[in-house]
Amino acid sequence: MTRVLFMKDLREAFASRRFWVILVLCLVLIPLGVEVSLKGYQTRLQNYREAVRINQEETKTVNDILYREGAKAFAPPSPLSFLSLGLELLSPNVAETQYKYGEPPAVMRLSNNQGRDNLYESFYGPLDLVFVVAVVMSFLAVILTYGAVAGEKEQGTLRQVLSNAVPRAAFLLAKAAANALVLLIPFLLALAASLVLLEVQGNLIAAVPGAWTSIGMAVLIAVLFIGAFFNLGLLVSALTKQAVPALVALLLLWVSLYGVYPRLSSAAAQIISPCKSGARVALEKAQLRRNVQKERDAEIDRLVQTLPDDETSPAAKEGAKTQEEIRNRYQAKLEQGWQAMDRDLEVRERKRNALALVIARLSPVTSVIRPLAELGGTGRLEYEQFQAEVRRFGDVLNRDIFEKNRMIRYKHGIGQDNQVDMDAAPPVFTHVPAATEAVVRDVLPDVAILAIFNLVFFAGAFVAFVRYDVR
Amino acid sequence: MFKTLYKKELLENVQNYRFLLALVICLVVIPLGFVVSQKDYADRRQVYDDAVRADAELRKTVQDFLQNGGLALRPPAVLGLLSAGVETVLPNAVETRGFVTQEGTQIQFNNSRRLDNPFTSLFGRLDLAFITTTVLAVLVMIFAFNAVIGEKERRTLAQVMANAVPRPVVIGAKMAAGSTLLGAAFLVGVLAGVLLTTALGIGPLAEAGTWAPFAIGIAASLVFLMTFFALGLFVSSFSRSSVSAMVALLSCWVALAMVLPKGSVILAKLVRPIKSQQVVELEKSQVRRQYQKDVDDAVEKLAAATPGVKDMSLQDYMKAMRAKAPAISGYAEAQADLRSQFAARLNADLEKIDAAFDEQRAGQAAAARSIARLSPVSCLVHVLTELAGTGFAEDAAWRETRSRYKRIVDRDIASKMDMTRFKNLSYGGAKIDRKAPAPKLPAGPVPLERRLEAAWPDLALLAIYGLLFFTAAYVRFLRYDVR
Repeated sequence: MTRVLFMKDLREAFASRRFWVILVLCLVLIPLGVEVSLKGYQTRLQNYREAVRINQEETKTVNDILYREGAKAFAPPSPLSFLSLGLELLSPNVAETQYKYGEPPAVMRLSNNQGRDNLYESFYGPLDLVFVVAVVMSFLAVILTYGAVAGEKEQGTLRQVLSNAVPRAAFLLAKAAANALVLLIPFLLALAASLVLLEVQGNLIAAVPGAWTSIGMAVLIAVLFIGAFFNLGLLVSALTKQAVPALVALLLLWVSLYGVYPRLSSAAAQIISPCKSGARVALEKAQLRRNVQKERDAEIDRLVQTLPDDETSPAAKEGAKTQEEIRNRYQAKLEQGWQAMDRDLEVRERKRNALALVIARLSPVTSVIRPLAELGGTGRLEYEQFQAEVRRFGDVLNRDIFEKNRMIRYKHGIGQDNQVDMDAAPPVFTHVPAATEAVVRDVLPDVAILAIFNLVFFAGAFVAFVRYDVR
Repeated sequence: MFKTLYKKELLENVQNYRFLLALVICLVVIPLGFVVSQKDYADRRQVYDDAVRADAELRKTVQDFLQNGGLALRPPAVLGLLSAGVETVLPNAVETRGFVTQEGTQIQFNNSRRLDNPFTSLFGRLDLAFITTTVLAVLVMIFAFNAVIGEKERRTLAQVMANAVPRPVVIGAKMAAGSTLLGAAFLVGVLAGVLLTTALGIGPLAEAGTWAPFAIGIAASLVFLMTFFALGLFVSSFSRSSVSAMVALLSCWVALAMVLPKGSVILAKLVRPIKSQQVVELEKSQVRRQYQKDVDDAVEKLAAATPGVKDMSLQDYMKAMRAKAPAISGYAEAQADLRSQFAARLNADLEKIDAAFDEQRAGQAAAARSIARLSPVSCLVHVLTELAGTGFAEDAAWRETRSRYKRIVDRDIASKMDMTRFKNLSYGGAKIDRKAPAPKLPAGPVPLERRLEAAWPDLALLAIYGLLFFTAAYVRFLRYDVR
């Protein structure tokens, strides 16, 4: 019976205008989005390579780092950003040393200067896969399902069908399966075409390690997400008696789940678990640095007053050594203070962000927007990875260069305790993207959540349909 | 007749679920959006104020400025609740880069930022632009989709038309009643939002100069709601059933709110590709380095060609310098002339690079904007963004700020850095009053006139779209065959 009904619904669905409209939309939007994202990526990649090249030319020696350009670290664009542009235009893409001559530790300042290059893209958002899935496909799922049950109720055809010996479960399953195929076949076809196009143009995916895993996961998540909205549509349609109220209710749900609810989640989390902003902590760190340096300079001042005039005397040399100890002591104090601030910020941010995620995950939209950004290499994990790498690079620079280039104060002037080879090649920053396994682990809960949404919505639709009184 | 029909439409909408739904949504979403935006603004404002205080402490005198570099901070936009726009990618400040020399000051944008809350960036903000173009646009569709077709389906329109009722009055009454109710719900929501934020001490209107842009923003939102309602009436009078009207309206909305604006960026990028700011900055850096090399070579040549100096050892030169020998003064003056010539050339070249880049960017932005203006949704978002001071006028203003800051620092400090070099010796800088107050750049919001200048074409287009949609609905309605 299910098969007969399924074939009937399938024929009906494929013969209808809706299937062709969905097919055309998918075949236009998805390849166009992927192509445009690819072009955007290539432009960013070209800019990144140019920036790295010029920087390498400008900083060939330690001397260039210390006295000319400072050290820079660049974040490369993500080749999988066609999945989701995510935070790529907003997160920092360059870090540079903020170093005052003779005053280690140097701090790596994170900056973003590609957002301004793409002002309109930042303004309107990109046409990436996540947009097509989260907006267009969920919208199509709603359009496809609002009348699935309510329409048949309204037209009276459901009454006729159910007056025969047709099991209700078979009826609903057949309807759901046939309509789901109408939605999924064009989507998967268009996606496959886009990926083939992408590979033909430059072997882009094959060159990225773990790309197929990420794409596979993204497709799974997209299909589950479309399924969740599809089943939500079935549920609302089964609960209502007319098609128009079903459509209005679905529309309001769509706006709430897509537009309003996720946007409020981070604000709610900030209210429940407040956390200082990075800019505030940066200010506090700068203030701490000033205070510590003031204390240190006062102590060195007192020491310098006791030194003899002759800078070559043993007492002066001993004084220089003591000065070094004082500097080290205060630097340790400063670094300890900074670490405590960073740790505190990190702990609070993690807590607040985890809470925001828990709240936001009550909407299936969250479980597609966030994971696709992570899988596209444009999410929080990639940002944290760049931050950690920059911190490590900063440590290397401090250890190998800045801490070996200190000032020593004498009674009548300033000397330099330079233990670094100025003509040596400076350390070079290398970027390693976040590991695919870590990303997959991070998005697995969203896969489970989407599966649960599918089950709950379908079960709800099933129960509502079974309880429908045909009289 | 109009009054009767207007009242009838009002009553019909008030009595069914729609008005209540609109009122509840406006009363919940708009105040929530206002509170979230204003709280965020209050936090950022506090950080900005503290940063300004720290900056004033750190850079009291010219000496401090030379030691710590210069900085002019950009305040956060007071009316970010209208539209967050591109504020997150605009520079936080302009600052000097490297040492200030007589060749001129290097000024760059400071775009330093951490991603404090990745979810806000991923999901977007609940500002008025989003609320109006998404949440309220959907409400408008719910109000308008069966305004005409519903009556056709129920055959009530045929009954009305059977009487001596002028058609313009019928469609005019529908338009007026729908706009009134939507406008009322919207204004109640806005009022609740303003009252709530004021009660919480984070009211947007407490700061000077915010009333006018806020009021214009609200008026523009009302015009948008009417425009969208007119579109709804047009689609409703065109459709064969309520359901198809709703689907068509939804499709129009997705196309106008999402696909067309995104498409405008794609097309603009294809038509007018540009370099990145990062690459331009690095190119400028290369130019400076080349100039520095040229200056050094020229100074060496000058020393080698100046009689009385060319054969001097460093020690002889220092002795002569202390004795204020005329040859040394002549050499120093000649070198200062040389340096100022090079500085003029360098600055002209750097300005040329900046101007070329700004022109390219402006070309791409103009292309994107022109295409996006085909959508009334883009028009409203542009108006609100410019009024909020989080848009393209603000970006342009900060490009000018960068040039202005450079002029100030060049005038007050760089031009007085009369450094002279001989072999490994560099000396000078005596003309600078190091105890004088450090140069400051008072940063303020873009004046309202300038924001309006940027916003008025979109505002006018919005009204024109409204008129066009209503005219189309009117014509279609007139041509409706009641039989």
